[in-house]
Amino acid sequence: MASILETKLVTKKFGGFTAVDSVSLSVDPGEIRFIIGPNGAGKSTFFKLVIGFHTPNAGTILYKGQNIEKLKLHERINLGMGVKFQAPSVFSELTVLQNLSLANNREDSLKINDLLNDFSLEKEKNNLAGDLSHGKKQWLDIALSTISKPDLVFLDEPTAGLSVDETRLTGEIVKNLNKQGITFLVVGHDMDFVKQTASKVSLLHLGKMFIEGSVDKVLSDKGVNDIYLGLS
Amino acid sequence: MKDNYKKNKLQIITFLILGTLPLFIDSYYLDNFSYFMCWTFISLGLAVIWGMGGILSFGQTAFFGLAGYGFSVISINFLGVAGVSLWSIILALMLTGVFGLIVGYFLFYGGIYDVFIGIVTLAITLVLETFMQQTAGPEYTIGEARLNGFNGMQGMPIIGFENIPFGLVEGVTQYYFILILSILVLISLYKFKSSKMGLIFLASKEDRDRVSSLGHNVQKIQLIGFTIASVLAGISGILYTNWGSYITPDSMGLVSAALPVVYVAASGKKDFFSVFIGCIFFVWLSQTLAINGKQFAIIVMGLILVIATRFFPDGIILMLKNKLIEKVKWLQS
Repeated sequence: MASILETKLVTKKFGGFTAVDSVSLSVDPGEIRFIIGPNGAGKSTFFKLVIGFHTPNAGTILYKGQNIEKLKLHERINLGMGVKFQAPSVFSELTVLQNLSLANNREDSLKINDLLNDFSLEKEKNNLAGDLSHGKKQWLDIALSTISKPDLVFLDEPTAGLSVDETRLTGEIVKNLNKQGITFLVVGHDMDFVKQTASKVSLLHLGKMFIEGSVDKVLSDKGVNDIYLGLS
Repeated sequence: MKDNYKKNKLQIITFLILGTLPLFIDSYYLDNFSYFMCWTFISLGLAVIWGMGGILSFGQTAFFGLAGYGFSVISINFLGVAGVSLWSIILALMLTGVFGLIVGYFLFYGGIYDVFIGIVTLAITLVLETFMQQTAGPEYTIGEARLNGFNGMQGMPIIGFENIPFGLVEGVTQYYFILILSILVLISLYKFKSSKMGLIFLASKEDRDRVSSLGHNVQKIQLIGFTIASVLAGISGILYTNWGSYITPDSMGLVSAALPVVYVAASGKKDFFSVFIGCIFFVWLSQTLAINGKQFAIIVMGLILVIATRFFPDGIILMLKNKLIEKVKWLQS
């Protein structure tokens, strides 16, 4: 099966520091791929390389076989991607409905009412997004990234600041959207969320790809435990 | 339709009152009122680019002056040609729009943002003023039109048709011309604000990257907003030139560049109607104070800006409007 996203030996340096070091990764359609790793592993830098906030010093990034390195963020999005940044970034001066209509760019988009129900935002649809709780802002942010029914969605720490229940519900929503044909690439380190949601996991350590595979394979690896315990 | 009426009761009543104003005040005050209303378009333009897009531009005054001079040069050169004072408006506005488009292109596609836009646009305004000030010599003549340096240009025809009763845009006709134009501009701006493009522009004020990440070309939308603002400033420039039959480099000076910022900030930059009413009020106030000395008026305007920024960040007129709607139940139903 042709990869939806492929990076080949992607490297990013900041001065003398190599944040991402020759990372190759291939995401197949239909996956919920997690990029995990301890703080400073290069997850967020890798995320920013893929969406176009950083330009790689070396390597190539292919989306559906097309080199996208020179494309601006909005041009990448219009190829069929969605993005959610780490901090919830909804438009606080607009209502929830206005936020969603702003993000709704395709005729075959997901139905706004379905999304409002899925993300428990029905009651607040006419409220200003700035008045939502942190958890609901996170959900609205995910809804913004997925409403246009993109083929591939990047989520950076989608459960940051969420309660256990909210995290579990977020996992269910992601899995439900995945069933509707959306492939996910998720950066995160909430292991319960990873176990609940991931179909495959890639672990970065010191900017390099350390291990890839199923959730069980990666989490049962002794090296991975050592990394998380700070032993390597 | 009924919903629109309910939502806009205050606006409708205000314009009905303004529509009957010529019945109650004499021609001197009516002319003054027309003058106050001339400035509403430049302020509404600033409300678009600053209130909606979060981009503080001092370039409005440059577009105001450019349109005024453009209108003068074109109409003087084609004096006697049928309808020159009408189609020269369109040409002057096109000239202003194209200049706005060029300036905006270099700003937004050049990666200039935030406070630097204010600095660059102010510089453009002052450069234009300085240039126009030194055009006193006969070599600065475009066709039949002399630019006249400090003294500015005069002798342009009054907008309209000479042989038709009330055909010239002066006196009562001028008042209604500006009033109707204001209504049309306000309706268009509210439509723009509620459109998808308006929403994108509003959102870009909060988070440009997030708007891009939803697939929108932020620079293009900002450029469109900037160009709309420049054309609105141009409308003010032409109406001002027509009102007094003159345009001078002072109209592009530092004070002229700062005053619309005061009008808009003190009125409530997020609400077009408040900006419209507030602009009329603050221009009147500024003119009234200027009777006691121009510098005195400027100091008071500065003070108003400081007070509004500190105590009424959403604008004094908008606050009063909201209070009025809150108190008068009939306006809500």
